[in-house]
Amino acid sequence: MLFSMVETSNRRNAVRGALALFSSLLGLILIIPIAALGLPFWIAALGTRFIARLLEPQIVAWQSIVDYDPTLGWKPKANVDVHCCTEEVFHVTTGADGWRGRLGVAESSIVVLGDSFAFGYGVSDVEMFAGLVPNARVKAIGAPGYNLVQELLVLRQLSSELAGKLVVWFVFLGNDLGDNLYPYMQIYRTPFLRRVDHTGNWKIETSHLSPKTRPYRFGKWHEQITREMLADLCSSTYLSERAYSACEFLIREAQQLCQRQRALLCVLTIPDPAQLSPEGRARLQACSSDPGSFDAALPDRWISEICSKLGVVFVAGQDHLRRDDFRQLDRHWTDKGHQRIAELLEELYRCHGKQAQAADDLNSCTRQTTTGG
Amino acid sequence: MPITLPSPRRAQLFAFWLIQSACAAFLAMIVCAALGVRRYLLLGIILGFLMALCGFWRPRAIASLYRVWNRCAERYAVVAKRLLLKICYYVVFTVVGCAGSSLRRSAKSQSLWVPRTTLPTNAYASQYDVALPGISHWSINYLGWAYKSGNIWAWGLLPFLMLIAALDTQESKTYPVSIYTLF
Repeated sequence: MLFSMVETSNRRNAVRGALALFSSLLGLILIIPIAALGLPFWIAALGTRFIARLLEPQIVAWQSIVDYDPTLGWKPKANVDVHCCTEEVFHVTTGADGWRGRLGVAESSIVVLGDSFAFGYGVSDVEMFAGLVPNARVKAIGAPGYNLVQELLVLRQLSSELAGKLVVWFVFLGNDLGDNLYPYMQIYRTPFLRRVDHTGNWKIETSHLSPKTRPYRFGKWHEQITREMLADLCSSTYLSERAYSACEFLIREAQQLCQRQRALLCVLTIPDPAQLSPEGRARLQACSSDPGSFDAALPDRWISEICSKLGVVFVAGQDHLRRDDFRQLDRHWTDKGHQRIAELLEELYRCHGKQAQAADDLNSCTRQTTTGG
Repeated sequence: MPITLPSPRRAQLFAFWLIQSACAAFLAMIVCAALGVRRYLLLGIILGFLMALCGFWRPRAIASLYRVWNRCAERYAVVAKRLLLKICYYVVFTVVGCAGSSLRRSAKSQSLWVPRTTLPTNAYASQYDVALPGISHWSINYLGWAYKSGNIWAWGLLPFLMLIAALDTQESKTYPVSIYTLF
């Protein structure tokens, strides 16, 4: 009985298999004209990929040019010479200290601190802003994904070499302010700020740092998450209240450090491309938790107030950059954007020079007066 | 291999234009040969060379053409996929369903839902069955599943599945912004 059931089942399977084979052959014959129509597209897609692979150098992801750092979470590797890719392939080199370019901090006149914008992510060394300032030697210190807490920690590490220099701190409004409060950056653990009390005191937390990474599979949601964060930072929300309080703490710390080292601190905010067009602003407003209080210029206004309170030079990047200075999909600068930043740095350096000259004049005048008196 | 072109970086644009120039040269050779033109080989090569040169001279024009080509490829993929699924449904499933397969065209008001039991945790990534150890390509796993589960007839679906995968475009992978899953 059982044997006959098995036999029937096998026979049915064999019949089904034969019918499936026959029908799929029939189906495939019907498909031939459809596939023939698509042949030019397949040839173009296949050929383009094949030839492009021959034309392009080997590309590495930014994650492979950084290493675990027990203080900062991660840091670019020393003496890297690779090609990375955003919308276009670009050449990246780092010095012995791991930062972009071969110039040392001691030899520089401007130190630029920041995240991937300071790292020059998206352009080759020759197109990067650091090499385009004619009258100053610029050392760019930054790494992809850094928040302001990490940048302050770097500044502390370099404090002994900052004397007399202009320190320009890039603050990317797209994610830096929110990232300061969060212990992870994609797969990495990152230093962040913890509120100590409600009087504006914060503590830098690094105890969770370790080489262990976490799984992160939300790359496709990343844009949406950061857009919502920026929208809330442009509105009167709990997030914005905490973020600007944390930001004030960080700028105050940096300012005190620079003052001790007789360096001049300048905060340069970098707008998110969405803030630079009416459509982008409308999209942001739609994401806000409180659309009624939305104001795309709010982050600049907040940071400007903080800087003026602390006596820090403030420059709103929104006044100098345009939408087409940024790439279309990736949010980094184009080579034109780098050129514009280089011009801005040149201008800042000139003002810094005049200020230093005025301070020297004032000092010598004071000395003369004291000697004379 | 997707039917659409990759993201348009400089190398991809030049590669695309080289392919177009080569195809144009090849077509010109065939036409010239058919018309009895002497030195059709040389004419084809000159045409291809000139075309490639024009692209290098005006890379922006290639970018526009690249976009148009990609849009056409996407449209084609959408239509072709729909036709493919229809052929698969009306030709293969109808015939196999007649032989008693659970995967068949449904009669009106008849549900084709099949009660399933919980899968082992290592099958979560590939819900149809546990992947074969050491084999990463889905097609081999699919064939293995069909054999093990006594559904050898499903091998006949493989060419259709492969064609559907080849017609995949990036566009079909985007999700609506407002999508929200409650869990």
